[in-house]
Amino acid sequence: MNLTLQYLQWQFVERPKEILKAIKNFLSFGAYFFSIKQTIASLFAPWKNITWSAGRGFDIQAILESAFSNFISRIIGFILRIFLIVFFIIYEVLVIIFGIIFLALWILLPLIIIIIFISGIKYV
Amino acid sequence: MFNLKTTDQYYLIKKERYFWFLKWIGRISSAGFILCLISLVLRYFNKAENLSALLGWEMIFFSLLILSQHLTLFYNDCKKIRPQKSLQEALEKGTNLAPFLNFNSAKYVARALKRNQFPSASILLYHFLDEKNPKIVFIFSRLLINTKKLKTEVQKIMNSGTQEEFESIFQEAAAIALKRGYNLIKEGDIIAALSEKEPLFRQILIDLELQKKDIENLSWWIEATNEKIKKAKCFWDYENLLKYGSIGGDWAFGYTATLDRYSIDWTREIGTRGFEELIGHKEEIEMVENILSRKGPRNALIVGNPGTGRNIIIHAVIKKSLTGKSTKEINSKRFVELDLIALAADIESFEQSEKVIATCFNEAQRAGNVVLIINDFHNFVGGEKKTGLTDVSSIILPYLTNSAFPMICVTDYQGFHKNIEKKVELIKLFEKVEVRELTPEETMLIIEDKVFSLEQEYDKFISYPALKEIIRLSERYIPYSFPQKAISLLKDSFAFSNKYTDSRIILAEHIDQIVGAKTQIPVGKIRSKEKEILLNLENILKKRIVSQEEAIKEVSAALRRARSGVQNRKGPMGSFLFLGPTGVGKTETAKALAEAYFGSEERMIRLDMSEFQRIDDIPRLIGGENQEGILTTKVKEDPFSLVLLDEIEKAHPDILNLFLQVLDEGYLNDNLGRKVSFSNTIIIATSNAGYQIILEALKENKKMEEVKKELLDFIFKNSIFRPEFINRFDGIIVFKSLTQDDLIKIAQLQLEKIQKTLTEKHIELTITEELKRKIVELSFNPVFGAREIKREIQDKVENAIANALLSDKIKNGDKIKIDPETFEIIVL
Repeated sequence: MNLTLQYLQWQFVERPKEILKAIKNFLSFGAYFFSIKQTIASLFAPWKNITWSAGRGFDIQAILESAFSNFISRIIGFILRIFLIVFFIIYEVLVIIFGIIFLALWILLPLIIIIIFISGIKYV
Repeated sequence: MFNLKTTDQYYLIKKERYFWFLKWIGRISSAGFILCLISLVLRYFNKAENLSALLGWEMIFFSLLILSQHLTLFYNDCKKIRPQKSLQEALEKGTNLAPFLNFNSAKYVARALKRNQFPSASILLYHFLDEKNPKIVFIFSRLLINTKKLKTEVQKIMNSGTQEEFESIFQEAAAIALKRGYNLIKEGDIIAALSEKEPLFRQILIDLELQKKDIENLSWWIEATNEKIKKAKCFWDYENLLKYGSIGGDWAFGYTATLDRYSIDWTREIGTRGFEELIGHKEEIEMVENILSRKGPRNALIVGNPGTGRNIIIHAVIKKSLTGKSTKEINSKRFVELDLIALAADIESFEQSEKVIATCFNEAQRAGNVVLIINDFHNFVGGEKKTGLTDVSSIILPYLTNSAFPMICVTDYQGFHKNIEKKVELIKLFEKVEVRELTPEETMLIIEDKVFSLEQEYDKFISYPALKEIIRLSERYIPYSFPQKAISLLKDSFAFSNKYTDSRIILAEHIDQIVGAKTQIPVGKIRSKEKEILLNLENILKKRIVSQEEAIKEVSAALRRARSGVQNRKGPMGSFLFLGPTGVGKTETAKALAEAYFGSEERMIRLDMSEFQRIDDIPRLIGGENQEGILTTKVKEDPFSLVLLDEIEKAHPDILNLFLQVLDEGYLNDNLGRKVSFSNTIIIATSNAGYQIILEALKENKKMEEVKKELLDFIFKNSIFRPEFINRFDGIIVFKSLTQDDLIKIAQLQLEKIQKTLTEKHIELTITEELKRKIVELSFNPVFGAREIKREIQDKVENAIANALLSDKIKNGDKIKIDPETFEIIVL
């Protein structure tokens, strides 16, 4: 066992792997939180499954009325789901940005510590 | 060959001082950083110039602080040893086990190795008793063992050991770690191994009635708790993130306004409450998942006794659904329990409530994502219409056939057989999942899981022996099922301790008191007196039983064998077949045994087996349609008692076959298929089959061994009992017939009872020899034994005293005797 080698592996391989795993967890959670699978699968489905039936017989007015109402229900459902998808995308982008920043900070941490230390000596 | 010096752990131990130095750098840097910061702020507000030097120091301290934290984090990660090889393989091949030690264990072993090349178990234990290690503190504090005191005592006996002894400790510890499924040997595993090897520690555990497996259990408990805490801290863990719930999942599914009003949304409840630990019932969970995922009707009927954890199974399926770990048919479903009781409380008319129930079913079906749960299903399909109960059987049928609308209904065995089983059209739409009762070991894990929250709530500490006592006593004395009865007892113990004791520690004695108060059985007394009773059983029984020395000796010896653990057994605590003529003391011995062992004659379940001569009598014994089983119900209600089966030879052979299982395995299945345990009973069967042989033997003065042999020959020859039935008893006890002298002694005992009653009225009765002889003379009949004496005393003596008392012939304070010829009362 060599502590220096072990440190290098820990700093640049093991821990970054853990950070990537955490980022993946946050990304997966986003898909769960915004129910993205169901949302995309039911993008044009009526809002809360509210639908109207034209009833029995051939009544053109009833058919048109129910078709229009169902169309409106689907439009409402679509708009709300689009909002949800937009929020999901924003969330995922933010997770990726902050994740990358955190990962970069971690990898550069030894360098950052050295820079701060040397700068401190310069000031003194 | 154990060699620590070549391991990574040893390398890290050597480097520990550098990291200890780092810790100090961190402390100094944080102090310097804070001071510089304060100074900087003050100077800045005082408009001081030239702050750059101060800023420079601030930066140096900050960088050192981060560096020390960073490297400490690295070192702590290094200490998490992950062996590359398999511990199982190393143990089998006998290779070096040192690379499999966790860091702390390696550190303690290294310290012990400094003292001796092959440290003895005592040296190792001494170094493992580290009061700064929370795991060690946990194990010993739960055992109520003072580590400091133990360490001092161990220090006195520390001597060098042998290589063989030293290596065997790690082999044992490795085996313990493997049992838990780990590839690493931890402190707890080594302490468990030392519990058998270190003499002082072993003696302490023997005194506490604990074993190595208890130390293993404690070690696993703390390890599991640590794991749980560690997992809870990782907020970025996927399962932890899931607690925040989700939005939009049900936008494509229908509204369930009425259902929401009369239901409990378990998916939401469990999501916000957090996921509870699941112990046991893995097969049942899998079965429910399979049923809910298959094609065709997807309805599960969970059948199990109350308290077996039926709802826990549903909660586990919900957890898997929430975390997306179940099948695609179950994942993201909404599990909703229809609250029919709340509905009945809200709506009085049956017609109206039926309408609302139909609406609820309709909404759930239309929603498309609901799994409906109905608890106590039997109450709502029994055809009864009374307050709080609505019959839903006709409403539910069409919905059960819909594969898009799965249901989980919960019932118990009694309700299942009474109300559900007979409804063919209903039952065929369900798949039955039977819930087994958890084992005491699984229950122990469950109550361990609940201890911390209760300790926090009541500000009390519960010892491990107390937890063991909860399991032991609830198994032995409390009816109903595991784990619920043990959980209830655990909660009761905290409430009891809070109310009645100032002690902050809950001890095993407190548990005895609670169970004693609950069941009216002097539990603690029985426990502490059991050994005493067993050792003195002959003397205790002799006080009540006249003449049957050999029988008493044999019963006592057999019971001692059974209870001392000499025999590896599953059956009842003891089982005996008493053979002998009537009136020789067979039943009296059973009563005396019940009093001595179970605290009272009342703890005897007595069955006259002559009432079970037909095969149709089986339902009366173990339960049948619309009737409780005389035997099974009584044993379930009173698991700690003596079962007396009088005149067993008269029972139907098929009924005797039922007892084969009881005597062999210690349980009987009742008519509902529920296991009734007899493991805490003593079973005594009596029979006067072949009594003529005993009467003859008395005349011929034969030895008891010879009589017993002849009697058994007679029994087998006449097919009264089959050999496999006889062989299952712990002892076949032959009671000899009574002589006149024996009967005189019995008359004395019977008259003493009257004497004792009269003493309470301050009347002194003198028992004369003549009176006893006269009673025996009047009642002597070798065929009926002592039975006639009791009748004769009742007829002659008790009647005479009663008449005298009523006619004021005798008063309080009188001294009396009875004329043996006329049976008149003579006031002295």
